[in-house]
Amino acid sequence: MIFQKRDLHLLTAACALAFAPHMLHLPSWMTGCAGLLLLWRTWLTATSAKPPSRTVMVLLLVGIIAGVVFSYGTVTGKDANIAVVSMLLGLKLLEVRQPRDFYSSVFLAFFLLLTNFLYLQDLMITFAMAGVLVMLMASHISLNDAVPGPGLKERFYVSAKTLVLGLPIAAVLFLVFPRIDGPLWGKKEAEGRVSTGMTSTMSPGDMATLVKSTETAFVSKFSGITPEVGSLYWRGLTLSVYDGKTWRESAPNHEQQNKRPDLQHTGEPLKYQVIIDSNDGKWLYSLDAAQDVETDIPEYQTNIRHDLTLKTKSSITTTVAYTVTSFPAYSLDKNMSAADLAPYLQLPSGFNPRTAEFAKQMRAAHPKDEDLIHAFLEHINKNNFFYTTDVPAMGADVVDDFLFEKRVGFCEHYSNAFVVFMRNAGVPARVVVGYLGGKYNQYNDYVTVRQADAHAWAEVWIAGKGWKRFDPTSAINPSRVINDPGSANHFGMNNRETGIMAGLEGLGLYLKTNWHSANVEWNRVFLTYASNQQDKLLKSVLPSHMSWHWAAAPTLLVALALAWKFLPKWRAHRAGDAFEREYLKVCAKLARMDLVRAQHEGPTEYANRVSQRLQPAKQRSFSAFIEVYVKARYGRQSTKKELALLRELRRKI
Amino acid sequence: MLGQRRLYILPLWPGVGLFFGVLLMLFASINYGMNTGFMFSFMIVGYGIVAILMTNLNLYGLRLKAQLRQPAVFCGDTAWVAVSLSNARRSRRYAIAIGRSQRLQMVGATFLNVAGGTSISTGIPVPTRERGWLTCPLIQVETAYPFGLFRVWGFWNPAVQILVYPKPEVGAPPIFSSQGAGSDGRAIERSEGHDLAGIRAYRPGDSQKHLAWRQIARTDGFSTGQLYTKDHEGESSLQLRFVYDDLPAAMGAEQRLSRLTAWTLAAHAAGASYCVDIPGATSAMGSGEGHLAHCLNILALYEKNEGA
Repeated sequence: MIFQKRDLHLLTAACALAFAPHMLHLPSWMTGCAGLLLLWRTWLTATSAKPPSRTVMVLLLVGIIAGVVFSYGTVTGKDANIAVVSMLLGLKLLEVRQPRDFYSSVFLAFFLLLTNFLYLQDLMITFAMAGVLVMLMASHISLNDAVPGPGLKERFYVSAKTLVLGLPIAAVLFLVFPRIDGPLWGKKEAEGRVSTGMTSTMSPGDMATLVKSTETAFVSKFSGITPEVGSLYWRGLTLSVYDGKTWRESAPNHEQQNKRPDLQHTGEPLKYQVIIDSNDGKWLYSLDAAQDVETDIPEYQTNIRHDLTLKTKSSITTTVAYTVTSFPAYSLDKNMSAADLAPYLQLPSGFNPRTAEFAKQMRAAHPKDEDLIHAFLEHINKNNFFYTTDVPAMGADVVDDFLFEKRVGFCEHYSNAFVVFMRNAGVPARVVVGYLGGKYNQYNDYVTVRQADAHAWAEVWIAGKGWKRFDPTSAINPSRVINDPGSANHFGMNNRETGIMAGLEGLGLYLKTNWHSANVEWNRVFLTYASNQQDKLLKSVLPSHMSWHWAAAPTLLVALALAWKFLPKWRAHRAGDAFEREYLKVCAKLARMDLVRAQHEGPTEYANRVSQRLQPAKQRSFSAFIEVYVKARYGRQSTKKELALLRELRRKI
Repeated sequence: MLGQRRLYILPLWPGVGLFFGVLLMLFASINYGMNTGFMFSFMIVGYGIVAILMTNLNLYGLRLKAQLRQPAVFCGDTAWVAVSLSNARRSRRYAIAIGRSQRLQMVGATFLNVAGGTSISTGIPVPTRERGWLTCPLIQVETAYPFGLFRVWGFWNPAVQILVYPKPEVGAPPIFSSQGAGSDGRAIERSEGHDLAGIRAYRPGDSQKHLAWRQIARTDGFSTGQLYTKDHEGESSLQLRFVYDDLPAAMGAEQRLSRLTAWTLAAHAAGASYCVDIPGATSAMGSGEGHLAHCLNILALYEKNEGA
């Protein structure tokens, strides 16, 4: 009934694994501290030494709390709480003496496991933590076995079996447990991870870190055939206000802001679902031209603005899935007055004089807008323009410096220069930021868009045609693209994965992509499950015209049916009890006459032994009583008549 | 057999602890809107519920059988009831505690593992305090395996009765005393058994002391295998009669029975022929194991009306 060394070692190892993911965010002194505590425990176990005394424990606790206050400035709040919990586990583990302490450590470790999900929620960590859970379960089986208990292998087997058998229960609870929106205490804290998403403004050079990140921005799945990924321009924001350095959206109080887009479309629509992780932005991504957006979460109700951006009511702080219908063949804002177009010609005065001069010259040579655009793109292509994400610092006149001096840059520099050039030439233009392309996974039909696919391009308003997309970055001669893995899409390179390649490389890729698909499904199905989906699910299994509260009705019916089935049995049981009660009353009566029934005696035996000692009249009643009782109790005649007869006979004894 | 209706279950304190732990985990999950946290908490709920089932299954269907190790014991000695636990299942049942039940608590628990398809036997000590038939006390079987979150137990009343003889008096007067017989319950009758009645052929079981050596030598019995025994009148040399009513009036019933038991045992040890004479039951004169058991039986059940 007491744990052995190996059980303590197992517990210590499981606690170490439960703690491990926290190393990513806890201060390093705390990781060291936890490591020391775990080593100390291992040493104590190995040498069968006594745990440290109360005084030492209290000193350690005070020291650790002081350390937490020093590091976090407080002991409240999520991060500080987790630091305290993990240190408490280390201390509790140190003083394990009895099974009680062992259990306390196991439950604390359960909690520490759970807190890992505050930081990471992907499939990998979930599997890993389930594994640690099995370890923790296996470690305390030994507290309950007789010597010799089951071997380690069997303990793991029993634990895993228990967990797997409990999964259906867990799944049902997960689906029906009422979801409460919002925190119970404290204010909603920002998600633990650093958001690496796109910002709401653009100034050349901003995206440099973003385009080097391999993190997933979002994934999408098309219903029907997935288009060529190289053609997927995911619009995020349309930026039209320029201050010489930074591009911004037009002011929110602008009257045009909430106007529906003036859109005409032809051809077939594209329908696709997008799952995006929290990014603290207030917009979603879509392909041009979005006609319709749906999400399940009311906070993320989305409006399509006049400039085809998708704006949400509140910032995206959880994983969201939304469905968009877009028409790739469209024309936008065909009819614009000069006043409507004025904001797209605005330029700060005093910036980029060389570009202005250059624009004037070009305009003179190419009176038609389309010709002018192509002339500029050709200029980029023919001259010595390079694409690289390692960009030297630019001067105050960013566009001049870029176009005439440095001639190196990436999408932001090219789109910035293009729009400034166009506005100088008197053509309405604006910047669009978003993502380009993605990686198509043919196994699950998903397109994964990474942060590295972040892109900026331009739109130009052409009379009679409306806003048209131009991507000046794609005009660069591919031979002048420098070491940039993330830019493959921008130059029309093949980004479609082709089947399972031969050899290990192919297998690795296969596993990687499948793992990725699994993670995507996990995100889509699991992490986005919220109160709305729950309502939807419960509604979907119930007839549409009734609220899900009506589920109580069938439940009640089932309960009634069960009662109907089991009540007669129960009543029969009660009836049997009535006979029994009569018998016991008789026994008690006889016991008062000093004729005690032995515990092992059946009624007949008892009657045989006892009846001679009774008066003849009573003797007859008693014999009759026993006869009726035995028949009623052990035979099939247990009716009310018999019971009445028994009562009568009993009174006569 | 331990069936579902006879098994009881209650959480042990780790089970209660787990319950509150899960509540805490759910609060944290709600607060931070962690779906993984919800799932994880519910997995632990599932673990708790399945643990009930697993603990229950560890006892469910276990077959119990009891038998006495020895037919009877003397009062004050411990009677051992041998209980065999048989496991018809293929898997092993671990950590089953079995013992006497005393106010729902187990006394003298033994922990056993019962391998699949086997049975294992263990002795349960039952203290004896009174002569007569002793009904085997209620037996309790329980387990907390595998996780110790819950305790499952069941009761079992084995249909076994133990005959308890009176406690033999320590320091009882010797059966052969110099004082005259009759005043204190011993009636010693000198038997005529020492007189030689003749010589007969040896029968298996005859004492070596009674072999007729001279006769055997004369007929060369050792080479022919024909042995002779001296035939005595009666088997023993003494006939003892122990009379309950003749014991001193100051002695109580139990004291008298205790002394009679001591004498009976002494007489048996001495190989004497004896009988007990108590009101309502008197044994015939005799000797041997069977006779001893009979006499002790009479003493044990004096004025005990119940009997099997």
